[in-house]
Amino acid sequence: MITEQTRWTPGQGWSPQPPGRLPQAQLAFLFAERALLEGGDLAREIRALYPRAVVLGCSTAGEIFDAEVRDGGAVLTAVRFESSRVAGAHAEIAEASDSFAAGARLAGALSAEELRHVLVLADAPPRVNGSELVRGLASVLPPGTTITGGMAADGERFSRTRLIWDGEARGGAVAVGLYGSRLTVTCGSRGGWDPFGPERLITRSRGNVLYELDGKSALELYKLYLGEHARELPAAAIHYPLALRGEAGCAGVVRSVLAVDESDQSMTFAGDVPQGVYARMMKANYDRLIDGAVGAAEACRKARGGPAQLALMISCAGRKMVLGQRVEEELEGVRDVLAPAALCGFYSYGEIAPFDGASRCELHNETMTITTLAEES
Amino acid sequence: MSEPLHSLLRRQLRRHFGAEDAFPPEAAAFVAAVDAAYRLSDEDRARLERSLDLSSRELIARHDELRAMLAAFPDVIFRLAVDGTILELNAGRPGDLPLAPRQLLGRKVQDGLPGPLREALELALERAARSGEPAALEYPLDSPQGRRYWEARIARCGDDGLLMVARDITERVTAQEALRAQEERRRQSQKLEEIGRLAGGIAHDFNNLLTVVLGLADSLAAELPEGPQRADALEILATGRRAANLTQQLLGYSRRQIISPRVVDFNEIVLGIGKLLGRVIGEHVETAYQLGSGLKPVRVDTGQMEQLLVNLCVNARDAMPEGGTITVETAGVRVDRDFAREHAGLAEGDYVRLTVRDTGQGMSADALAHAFEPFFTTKEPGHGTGLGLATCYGIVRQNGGCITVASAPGRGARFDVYLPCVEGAAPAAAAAPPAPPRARRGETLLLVEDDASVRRMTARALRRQGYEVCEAGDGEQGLEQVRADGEGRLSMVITDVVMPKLGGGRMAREILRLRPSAKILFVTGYTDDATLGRGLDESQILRKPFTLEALVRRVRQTLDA
Ligand SMILES: Nc1ncnc2c1ncn2[C@@H]1O[C@H](COP(=O)(O)OP(=O)(O)OP(=O)(O)O)[C@@H](O)[C@H]1O
Ligand SMILES: [Mg+2]
Repeated sequence: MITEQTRWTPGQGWSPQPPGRLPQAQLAFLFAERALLEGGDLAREIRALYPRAVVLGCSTAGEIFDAEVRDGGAVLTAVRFESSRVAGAHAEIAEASDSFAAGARLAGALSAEELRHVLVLADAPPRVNGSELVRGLASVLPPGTTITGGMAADGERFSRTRLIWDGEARGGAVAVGLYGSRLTVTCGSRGGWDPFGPERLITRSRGNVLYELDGKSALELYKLYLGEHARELPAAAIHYPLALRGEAGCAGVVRSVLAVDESDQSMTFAGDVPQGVYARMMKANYDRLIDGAVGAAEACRKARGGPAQLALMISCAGRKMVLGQRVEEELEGVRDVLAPAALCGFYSYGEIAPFDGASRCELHNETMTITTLAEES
Repeated sequence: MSEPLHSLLRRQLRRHFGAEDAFPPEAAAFVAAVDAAYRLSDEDRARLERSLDLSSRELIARHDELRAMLAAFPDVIFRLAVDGTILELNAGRPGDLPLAPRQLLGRKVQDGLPGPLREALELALERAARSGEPAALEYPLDSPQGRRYWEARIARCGDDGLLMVARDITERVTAQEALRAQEERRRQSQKLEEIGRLAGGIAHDFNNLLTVVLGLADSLAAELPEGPQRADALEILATGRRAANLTQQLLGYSRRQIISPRVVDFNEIVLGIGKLLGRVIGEHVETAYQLGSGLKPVRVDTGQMEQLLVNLCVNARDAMPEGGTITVETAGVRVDRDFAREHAGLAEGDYVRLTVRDTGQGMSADALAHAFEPFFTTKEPGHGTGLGLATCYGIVRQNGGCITVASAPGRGARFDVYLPCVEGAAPAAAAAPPAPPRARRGETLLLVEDDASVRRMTARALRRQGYEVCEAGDGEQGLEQVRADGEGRLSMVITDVVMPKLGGGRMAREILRLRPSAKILFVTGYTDDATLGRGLDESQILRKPFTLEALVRRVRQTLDA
């Protein structure tokens, strides 16, 4: 397995070298600022450089290149396997309510034989319901198939997102199946947020749209906590994701805010916020966030037992906003654990990963989710 | 420098100067100051976070404690938003909630309730939320386990929340209702007793009048030659007997019928009357008998029991003009303390239960409430007097039992009669029919009766039979005459029971002290054991109104005994 990595920044252009050194690559990731993807030129250029590759990618809230993160640029990672294979599919999603069906369609397009893992990228809510998409995928894939991935992002604007598929900018979702007996894929996902304050019941919600907590406007509650930062909604709400209490015996999930609508006092989250579930606000703690990223990396390493060749990091935009200048500390933490693997990835509006190792896959928020690939030679 | 710089500062230095230590030496003090400031702010932040973490943990712990406390209550407890949205709940006992607690969260507590209750609850919630005054509400709710009664208390909890405690009060309500029903039954039976006393009094007076009417009509008929006048006299006699029949029934209802109870196997009574019943009931109605085996004997008046059965079966027949089935059932039952408490007149013990069931039109609530009252009838004028069930009631009570009815329109009716069993007594053989009267002359009778016309009429009839008759208007006069009767001319004493000054019973006791072998016949239409004294049997009593034939026969029997 050979990887090629390069990045483009507005000041420097491609560095350390222009892309296209691995023309036989079977897989190419392109993570970029939304504006760079909008026209489709960049995607087409990459497509042309790697004619045999499955090219996928999305807009981000920060592109990860090794242990560095940049905004407003693009990172490219091309992979050539020795014996492993790659196949992918794309599904448009017209309405968020079609997400489950789209997930099932994507899974149906992937052959199950020797399937090792499925990588997924999707448009962010409100256009796609990530929870439903994952459920749709899992409903068709062979039981136990691991799924990782993330939702595209749009800086701190929480506006439109873009997907790259087959040299074109698209919407919807893409899924890539990784095949081969010599390929091992591991994943780890950790948050590092702490719940605080009282538990509140979600008394009115629909899908991933929340209206009321404890019978009162959720938006008002957020405004109260944000104080003068309420002006910066919805981005400011990223500081207070919600921890949902799981069913007895199950871990809960974390949900972060993506959009607010003053007209109907609603808040749109990156994943489902089901009515009748208790939720607590969460707060960040730098050290715990960084420990979380390191924990995710360690989980990957433990699962494999040996070094990986490539690590795909999908970390939540909320973490980047909260960590500020310290954001790279989480990437460095990961690098320290996973070196000498090549690192790439992006800051997202939602991560997809199993809860722990092999269990049921779920849409997460506010986590660092790492997928490592290794191919025995 | 011993300690490395703050990690953030190191990153910033790397970014701006290319390396951590590439800053100009004159900036060293500034870098150290920034480093110290970073560390101070980190410490500050760590302290604040620690406080927040700890207080959050305490908050959750308190909440858990509160939840554990609520869980210890058997009640259903809701924490509600002001609009009734369920924020938290304690499920109470299994089956108390229509859905799993988890599914109820986030719904409104009033949702899914029947309309009027929903409105009442909404009002109570609103009132409690607005005024802060606790509200309470009682209501029934149907569940798969049946109807249950709840008491809900709603109180404001916090600034903008409500607490609602719903308690299952089914047991209390059913107990109260049972008490009310018991009270109602008691009132009803008191009313029946009162009507009974009234009817009994009237019947008694009527009896006396009828005795005269019948006696005089009888002697008229005997004395008049064949012809229209004699036919009139016979007509008076016949009508009088019908009237006497009626007063007899009323007396039965008021429990003043003179009875001669015997210890019998109740099934024998039922079997004995079967043929008669068949004839009375007619062919369009089927009769089924389900007689229990091994019944303990009862002590009852056979004639009354037959009357009871006939009345019940005739009613059943009348309720089934289109045909149907009457089921006559007997069974030995044990009356327990609860049942006895609920049914006036019953005591704990063994009873025979006679049940007469039909598949007829059943009874309205109104008919049920009044069925046992005399003259209550739903039948067309001329078709029912409304005395049937009243009589049954009196008969059963007189025999130490009770009668109950259960019915609903269109659902048939069921009458249950409970009669106490007697312990250790064997059923007696049926009494032999009385011997025919034989008149004999030369005997002197003392007739004691306060009603002059009855006395005159009776004396006249006896004299016509050849007896010497002395008359007395009350007990004292009677006793006087016995004392005066030195050589014992008097063969026997015929006396009324209830009289002014000295009643028949006490007078008789005095006479028996003077003459232990005295023969005494009591004439009464109005008796109970208390006025007569114990130890009397039917042979010593003549029932009013009596026919002259009966009078003569009983006098003869007494003299011959
Ligand atoms: N088996 C029955 N089914 C339906 N209704 C009944 C039954 N038994 C009694 N009733 C109702 O109770 C009323 C009173 O009954 P009760 O026997 O006292 O009087 P009655 O039958 O009307 O007249 P009678 O004096 O001729 O018996 C009846 O008129 C009838 O309405
Ligand atoms: Mg009747």
